[in-house]
Amino acid sequence: MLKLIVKLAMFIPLLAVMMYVSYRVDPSGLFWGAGFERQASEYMLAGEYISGYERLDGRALNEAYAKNVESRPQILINGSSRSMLIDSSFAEGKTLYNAGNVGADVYDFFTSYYIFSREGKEPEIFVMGIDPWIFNDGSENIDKRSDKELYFQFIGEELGFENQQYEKDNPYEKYLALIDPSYFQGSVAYYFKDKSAEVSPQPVPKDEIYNQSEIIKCPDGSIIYDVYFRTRDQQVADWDALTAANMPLMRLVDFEQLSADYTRQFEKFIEYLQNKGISIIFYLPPYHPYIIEAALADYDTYHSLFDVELYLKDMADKYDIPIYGSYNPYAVNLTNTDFMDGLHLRQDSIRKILPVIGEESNNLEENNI
Amino acid sequence: MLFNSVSFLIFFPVVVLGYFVIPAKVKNLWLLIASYYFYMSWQPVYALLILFSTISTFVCGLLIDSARSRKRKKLYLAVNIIINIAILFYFKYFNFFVETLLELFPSLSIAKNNNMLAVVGISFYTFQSLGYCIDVYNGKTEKETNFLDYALFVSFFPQLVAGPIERSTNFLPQLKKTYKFDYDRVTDGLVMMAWGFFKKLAVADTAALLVNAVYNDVTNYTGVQLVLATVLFAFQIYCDFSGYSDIAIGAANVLGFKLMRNFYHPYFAQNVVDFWRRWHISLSGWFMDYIYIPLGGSRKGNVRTYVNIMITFLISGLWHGAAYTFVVWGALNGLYNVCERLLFGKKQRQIRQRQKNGLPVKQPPLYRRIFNALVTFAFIDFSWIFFRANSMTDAVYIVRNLFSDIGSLFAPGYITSMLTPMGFFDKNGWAVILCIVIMMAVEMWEGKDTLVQRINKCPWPVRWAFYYSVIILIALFGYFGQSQFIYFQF
Repeated sequence: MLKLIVKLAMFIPLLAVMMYVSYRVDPSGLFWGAGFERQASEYMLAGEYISGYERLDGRALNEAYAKNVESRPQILINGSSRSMLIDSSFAEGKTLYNAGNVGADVYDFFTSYYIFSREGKEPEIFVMGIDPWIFNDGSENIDKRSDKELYFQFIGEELGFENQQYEKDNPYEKYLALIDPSYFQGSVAYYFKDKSAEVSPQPVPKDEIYNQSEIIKCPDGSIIYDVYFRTRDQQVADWDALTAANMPLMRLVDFEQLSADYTRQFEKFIEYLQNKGISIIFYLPPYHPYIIEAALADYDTYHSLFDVELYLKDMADKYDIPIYGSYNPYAVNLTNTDFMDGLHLRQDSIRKILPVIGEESNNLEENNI
Repeated sequence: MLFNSVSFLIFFPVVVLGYFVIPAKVKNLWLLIASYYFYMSWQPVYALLILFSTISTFVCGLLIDSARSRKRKKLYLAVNIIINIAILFYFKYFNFFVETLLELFPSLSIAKNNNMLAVVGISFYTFQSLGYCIDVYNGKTEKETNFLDYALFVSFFPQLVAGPIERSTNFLPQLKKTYKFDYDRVTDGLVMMAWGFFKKLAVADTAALLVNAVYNDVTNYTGVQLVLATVLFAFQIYCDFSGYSDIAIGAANVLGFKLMRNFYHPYFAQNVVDFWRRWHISLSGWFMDYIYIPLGGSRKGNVRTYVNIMITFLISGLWHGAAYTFVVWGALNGLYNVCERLLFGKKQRQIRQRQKNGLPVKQPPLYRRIFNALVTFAFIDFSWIFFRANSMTDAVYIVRNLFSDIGSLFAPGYITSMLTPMGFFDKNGWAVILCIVIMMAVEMWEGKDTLVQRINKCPWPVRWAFYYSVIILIALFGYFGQSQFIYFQF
């Protein structure tokens, strides 16, 4: 019997090689994050600016970054593209990562934090870039790219909401992939796959990042819009805003009232973060004046936009949280020229309403709504 | 429980370990419990059927043995055959029978039983236990008096659901012996099992992906696609079934039991008669001994011989499945056999006579043997169309369209344009072909030995290279979606 065991043990090196191949190639990104996103995160961690962001899965990129970054970012930011221009220049002396996502929804709102916390990389300061639609529970407000399962996992496991559509993950389950022959086959196939036709993220020289014709992802997670979008004539930007204002406002229609579920989860989230000693900052990215005027003109349809702001102000008071910005540009002294389109503020204009984080108490108190 | 499942990976070592550490007197009981557990993992209630078959044939064996007159023995045997065939008929053929009746007489008020589940392996254990009764009746084997041993003979898990269909003369005496752990025997068994897994996972299951794509939607395919799917099916069914047999034989060998060889390089057969001596040997032998010979075999003139052949093959077709396609498949193979006997019977008999007398038989040259094997393969593969097709309509469509694109075959890019829609490049088509080539090369290398005998003659580096290669091939090209073995349904 011993002889047989010894002979069988001679197959262990083969098994070890197969496990190693599965682990290193990791075609599903179980251990290292998804393929191109992992590659992109590696560039970012090396301090590179990268092209090809629009072809990447921003959520997977954040996950890969969270897995692979050595130490936690001291400041973490979430939110949609409306908050993604907040970069390291807003965090003097501290590390910052902008975990926002294009088209971010309520799921992203929670999971942007969770993908870091579950890696044991919780920030000191969490800047919540809060879009009003995260309190709108209509299903059309959910982005198909967001991670519903992870959201349910977070609110079930971390915030303690019961009866959620979530089954607790076995943290060791992913390691079964190492002895799964199908995963090994996938790894080998992926390794030998002709990837030349796929457009992979590429580093962009630092002196060219503002001249690109596509969005550039910065090493701190923030983005730089393409040169045309940033520099186009203000009239064109305003025309864009006006067009958007004359259409149903993004994710704000059928928004009768703030979702009771989402507000409960939001409050629990705040308490959860504060219990962990994490400082919170609310940032409300303003809308273009044309948009807010359209919302005011059709107050019956869009009253919840203003209700959200009032609600957030209450929450800020209740939990002693600094709040910056306002959905209403007039409330923070912004004009058309501060906007690149109906939804997106210029980076310099953000500086008018959001102070350098950590120094919030000084110079911009007046913009605190 | 499938051999290619995680459950079996746990079940088998536990059974083997338990078998070697427990006292000799309870070893067979242990295997019996394991065998019933194995079988009940499909549908627990159907264990009652196998239990009933076991009890009835066990009692029948005792009654036949104790009966004084030949007439009474015959009566006991006949009653037992009728009971067991009736059960087999009900669970396997009832719905087919009702469908046929309704086609012939639409006004009949008879209904199918749609709630009936397929009873895994019912044809195998029914034939095995009936074979025992017939052997007792013919005096070929002693009656078995130990019920536990007999129950294990019927339900022995490695061969329970898809054979080989063991003979009582071979297997019952083995149950009287005690087997201890033997390194060489265990490793031989494991090698057989590994080779069986290679055939099943790397050839049969991956080929099935392509075959199923075509055969489940035949009208969307034509010409070269149908030909490729049919050729691949020939290897799918061979590797599926012989893979199962190899695993069964290997698993039994690990425990100490010798099961009969079930396949002997069938696609190297030189003619159809030769093919049937190499394919599913345990079943062919069963039909030969219990159907063909009792019908008169070849002893009652040429015409009667041909009729007996046709009857045997038609029953064989029906044994495989309750559908007209299987009947046609059986009829075609019967017809091949008859035609071959008509055309080459005299010459084949002369060769067999020379072999019997120990006289040298001149081997045809290699090119001739290759040609013969290819022609035989073509005929056999043609019959597989009916075996695999989901209906007669599909089978007829395939036959009609097999060569519909022969004129375009050599047009540049045509083959590629035909292979792409059937998923040849997405579903590891090249890997299947590579694995088939490797398998056939290994079978050529085996020669007249078994794989284990051939490997054991090699120096250790070759042996280990073979072991490693098999595992790497399975890991690289195997399909791990846990597909059933085709023959479970029979």
